[in-house]
Amino acid sequence: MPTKTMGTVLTRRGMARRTLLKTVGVGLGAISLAPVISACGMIPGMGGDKMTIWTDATFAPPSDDYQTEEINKWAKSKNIEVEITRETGDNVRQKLQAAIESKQLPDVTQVDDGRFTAFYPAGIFTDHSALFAEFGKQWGGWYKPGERIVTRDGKQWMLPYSIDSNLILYRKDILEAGGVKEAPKTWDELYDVAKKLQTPPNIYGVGFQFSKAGTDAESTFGLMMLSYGASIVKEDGKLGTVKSPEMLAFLTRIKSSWDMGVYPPGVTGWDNAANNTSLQDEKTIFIHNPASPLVWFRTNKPDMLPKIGVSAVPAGPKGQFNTAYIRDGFAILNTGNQKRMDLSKELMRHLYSKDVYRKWIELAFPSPAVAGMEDMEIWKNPQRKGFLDAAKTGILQGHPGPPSQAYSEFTNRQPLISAAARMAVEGWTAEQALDELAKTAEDVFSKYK
Amino acid sequence: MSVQSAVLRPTRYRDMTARHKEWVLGYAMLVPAFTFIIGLIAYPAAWAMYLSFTDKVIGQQETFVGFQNYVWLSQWPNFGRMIWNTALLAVVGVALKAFIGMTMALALNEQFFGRTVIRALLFLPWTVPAFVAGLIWRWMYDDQNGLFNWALMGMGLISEPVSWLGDIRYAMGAVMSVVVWKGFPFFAIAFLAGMQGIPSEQYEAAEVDGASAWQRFLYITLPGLRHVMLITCMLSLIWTANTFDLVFIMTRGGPSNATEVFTMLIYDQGIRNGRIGEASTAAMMAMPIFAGLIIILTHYLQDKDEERA
Amino acid sequence: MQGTLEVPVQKASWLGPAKGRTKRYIVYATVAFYLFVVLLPLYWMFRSSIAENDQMYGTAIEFFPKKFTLAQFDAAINKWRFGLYLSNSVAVGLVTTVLTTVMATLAAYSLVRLRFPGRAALARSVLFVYLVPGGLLFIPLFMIMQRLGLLNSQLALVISYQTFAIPFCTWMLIGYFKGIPPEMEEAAQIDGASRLQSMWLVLLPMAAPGLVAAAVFTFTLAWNEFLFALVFITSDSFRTLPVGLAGLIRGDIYLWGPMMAGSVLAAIPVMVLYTVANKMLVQGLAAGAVKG
Repeated sequence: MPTKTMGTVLTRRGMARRTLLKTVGVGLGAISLAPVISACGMIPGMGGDKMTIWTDATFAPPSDDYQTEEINKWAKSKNIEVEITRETGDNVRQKLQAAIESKQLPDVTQVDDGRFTAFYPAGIFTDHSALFAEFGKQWGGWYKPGERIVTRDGKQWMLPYSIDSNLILYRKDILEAGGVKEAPKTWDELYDVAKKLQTPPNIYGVGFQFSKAGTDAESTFGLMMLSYGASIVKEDGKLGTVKSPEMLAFLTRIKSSWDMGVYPPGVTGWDNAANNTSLQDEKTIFIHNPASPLVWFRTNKPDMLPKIGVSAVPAGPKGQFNTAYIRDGFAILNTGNQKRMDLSKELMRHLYSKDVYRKWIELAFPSPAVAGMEDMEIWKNPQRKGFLDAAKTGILQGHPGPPSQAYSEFTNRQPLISAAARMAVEGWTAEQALDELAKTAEDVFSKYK
Repeated sequence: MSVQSAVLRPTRYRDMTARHKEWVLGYAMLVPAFTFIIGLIAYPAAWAMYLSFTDKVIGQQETFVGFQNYVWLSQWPNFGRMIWNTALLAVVGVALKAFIGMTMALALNEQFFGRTVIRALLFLPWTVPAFVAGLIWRWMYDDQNGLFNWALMGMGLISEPVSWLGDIRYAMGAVMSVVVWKGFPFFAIAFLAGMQGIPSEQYEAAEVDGASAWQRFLYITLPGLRHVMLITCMLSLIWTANTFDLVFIMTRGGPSNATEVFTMLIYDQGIRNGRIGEASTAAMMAMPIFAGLIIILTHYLQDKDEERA
Repeated sequence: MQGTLEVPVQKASWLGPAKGRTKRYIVYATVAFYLFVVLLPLYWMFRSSIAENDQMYGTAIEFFPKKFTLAQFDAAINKWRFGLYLSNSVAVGLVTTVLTTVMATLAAYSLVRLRFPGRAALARSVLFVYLVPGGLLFIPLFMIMQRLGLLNSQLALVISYQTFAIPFCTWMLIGYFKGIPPEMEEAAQIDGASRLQSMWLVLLPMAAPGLVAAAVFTFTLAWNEFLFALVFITSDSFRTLPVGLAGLIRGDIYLWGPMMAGSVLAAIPVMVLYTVANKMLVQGLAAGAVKG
């Protein structure tokens, strides 16, 4: 039975400890409150003359650093404050969503073609036609793919900066050792060469991802699909006949390539970094990727760099297609603050100026969006030249139709990778995969009547 | 006192009955927490509920579409598979976490050399951000360079690398192992803290009575931890069913839907495509299940409580 | 009476007297096994943080690297500003924890020890907060923060973290409070203490292990939170660790070295916190032994 003595004892003991905890708690609170209070004092409003600029973190950090440096230099020269935020593209996209809904837009944001297509209907982009024409004149013209993406209703709504492409990166040394002088020109050739020259389990032939985590392969299979003469949409962008004999032929080609055993068994779980790693670790012969492994080799394994070949995407029976997408682009957003919008135009002029633009392209890897740089030394390197050529002739997402939100959503579901995975992992026939593909297309496009 | 209160209506606090004073105190102590909760959640919850009946896309004006989203979602291919994956991950994941957490807590409750340091170390998985944990494990499970394949091949147990994350048979197991790895410290520490509240006299008395270790565990430890167990399991069920980061980083729902959970759906629809109308619908459809879970478990807790009183 | 405040004694437990050898071995074996499983990935993280770049990739990976370097930490702190992110995370975590623990303690006490109409329903409703997933929540919360003028401040995070911290902390404390028999507090009240005094002087000391556990958990939740920190903060000077770490993923290239170094940095404060908290758990053990 609790007694009075017990109660007193407890209380005293408890008090000792409570005091200790209290002091610790207050101490911690005070320490941590300090930064918070100073932080509150530093709450920047989105008003005033501070410009907010959202940029992308790319796979070539030196180019990012250079860009940040240049923006800061420009800001200093104009005596204004800028706040630069650099995130990966997906994160910028998420922040934009919140910004759009709450109408709290940054002044300038980097936009790639995916974000442009997604957010264009929200009306956040301003008319950039004047700047577009100005830079076009300054640089001797824009490459067509970039121009096509940003032009709606005859006006331009953002400025392309770089055009990237996914190309076939392959082990030139292995091909040469195997007596293959040139990169394969057709898919059949590619698979045959891969089968002939691979030495599993050390080196496999082809590293295309069969997993939804590897969005690269959606583009790979998309190009293959088009090269077989199949397509999802018609030229007006509306849903076409998915269940065509060409589509079946294309799916059969994927299935047969899987049965050939040219893929490392793990491709069903690869993400976008895994195919890079496979080439970097010398485990595959062919991958389909943007230039990031080349940047990696340059930093980490420079002696391997000359052994990597870059070639255009192979042709199918009905044609050959490369992608071209805007990887870096800028947009001045509709913030309603005329002063900052004008300042943003000045910033664009700075970034597109001769020295800044050229230096940035040197440090980055993709092709510029403008035509006037073809004289640069870097294009003598066949690896970089491949990307330049692709930028000029590449097709856009949604081909043969124009880029559209419907197609974008369709691609986001990774339908081609899903079809490939079904056939590889679950043993579906090409017909079954085709059925599901058609259903997915129907499902998505029906929402966008 | 009671007669007085029956006749008059006390308006001043000190004239209230003890019972009414208790009411006032009770509500007053809830005010801080509930202000935050209602202030921060009520609006978003109502907003989400409203959106599920519209076709809202980010940046565009929405139009009311009634139950269209719900119909569309229930016809989603692999809908059943997704529910199964989520339920499997949640239920088995929590069961494993609870089991491992319990054995851990029991072991850590004993005195041995280095116990303090080891306790701190064992807490670490919970401190690593989910996506970092996912990345490290992903690397370990990697088919090309992964630690596991390297070790297994080195020991001669397998001849070819196994694609843990790419094989439809192993992917879910691999993901679940990471979920459990990351989550069990929570259970271990919660149980450990709860065990401190079990009076040692009970154990001593039981020992004197001749009870075996197993019996002591069953009849003293478990009942003593009853409430803590129920609550940690309930919280963990909700959290595990909402797992996103880990699954996303490791498999993104693959290979071929083997690990697709319903948070993937919300992400793919809401965040990637900006179609928050449909994303809200997915969340709405999950709500009754979670609400039911909460109600059942808390009901069970309340019942026990009344018994004690 | 058992135990004193100076030396925490070995309480009797389910296992019985610690002298039995087989029992000792069971304990050791269990602990060793779990230690291995837990530490393996973390060893990898640690090892990568002090290894050279070529150790991150490829077939030349050594389990125990022969060369060590501090270059990764140097890069993480100096180039990638992880020192700054660390202090931001600490600030946000501490303030969140203090705020949450105070509110949750009040709420939990009320829901466990006091009787009033609607008590059960209110207890449940605290949990209903979890029905709205973060992926949907961030947009309306963003709008709320904007209206409060708190965007891009640490206060926005502290406030928005209450959404998941309060339900969690409250229910953890409900669990611990329920496990403590009310007789002690009733005795104190008979002695003249008010309800609040009995809570402060009797219940909380006895529930100290639970309080500490709940506080540590809350801190960890805030520490690891990613989405709100990503969306509400735009300046680099307020960025927190998870967002900083995610920034090292650049497309399809992962900067493993600085990322692992950054992860190790991220783990240290929580370790420290837990070690400190552990001492309080032990003290709680001793005081808790003063019973009945």
